[in-house]
Amino acid sequence: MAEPGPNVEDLYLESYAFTTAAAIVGSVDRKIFVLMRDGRKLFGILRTFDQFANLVLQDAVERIYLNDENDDNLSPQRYSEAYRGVFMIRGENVVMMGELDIDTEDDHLEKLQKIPFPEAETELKARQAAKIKTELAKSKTLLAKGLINDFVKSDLY
Amino acid sequence: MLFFSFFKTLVDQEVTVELKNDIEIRGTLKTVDQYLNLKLDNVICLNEDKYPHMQSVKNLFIRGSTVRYVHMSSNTVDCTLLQDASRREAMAQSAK
Repeated sequence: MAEPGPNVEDLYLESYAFTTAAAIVGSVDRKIFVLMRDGRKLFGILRTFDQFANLVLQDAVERIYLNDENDDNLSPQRYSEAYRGVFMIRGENVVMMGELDIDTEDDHLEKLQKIPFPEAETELKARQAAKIKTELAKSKTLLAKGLINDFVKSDLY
Repeated sequence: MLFFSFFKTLVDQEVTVELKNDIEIRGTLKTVDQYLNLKLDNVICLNEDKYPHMQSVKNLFIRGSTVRYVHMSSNTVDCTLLQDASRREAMAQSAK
């Protein structure tokens, strides 16, 4: 893999000023992480993309972080990983994507306990189902008062 | 397109972006596009213990549709000008 010069991004920015493509082009062939709307966190090498932020990742790994209590405000104590290979992501499902520092990307995992993926997935699914249930109940209560709850079932990030 | 132009004037300023899932990210605004997708450099996540994978992230592309708020320093915004421009744009829209 040829390392692009430091000014590749600037070169593109000149011709594509303020486009989606210009924002992503600098991360091609780099290790990135993608947070998706369904809550999945994917780590892999960005190989290609387009103006909608559709992305293709190579050697993608999906990672789940879990904390011990069912409380969104706690920091995670456990994690799990599954190899996914090539992953094509439709742009509308992307929440954010960031370039990773490959020297430090695994540092935070040392403090966490690794658990088997099926176990983590089952627990996560149960929590998400519980969240959907409480949010839908909340929407119903708010709607009765003429208020809208900003929650969509597919938004679990 | 007014807010697109407005965000273009904020390029290279430090902003804090709050997403709909309560993640708060501070960084230097690098680019913005017509969907108000944002690209930040030198990012720090303000609730990092909750999202430990953000520690090693250098720059971040955020899809505009997931943003709740963008916080910026008040001296980077001319509110009167912005309000005026918004009204002009609204008037131009309704005249069509």
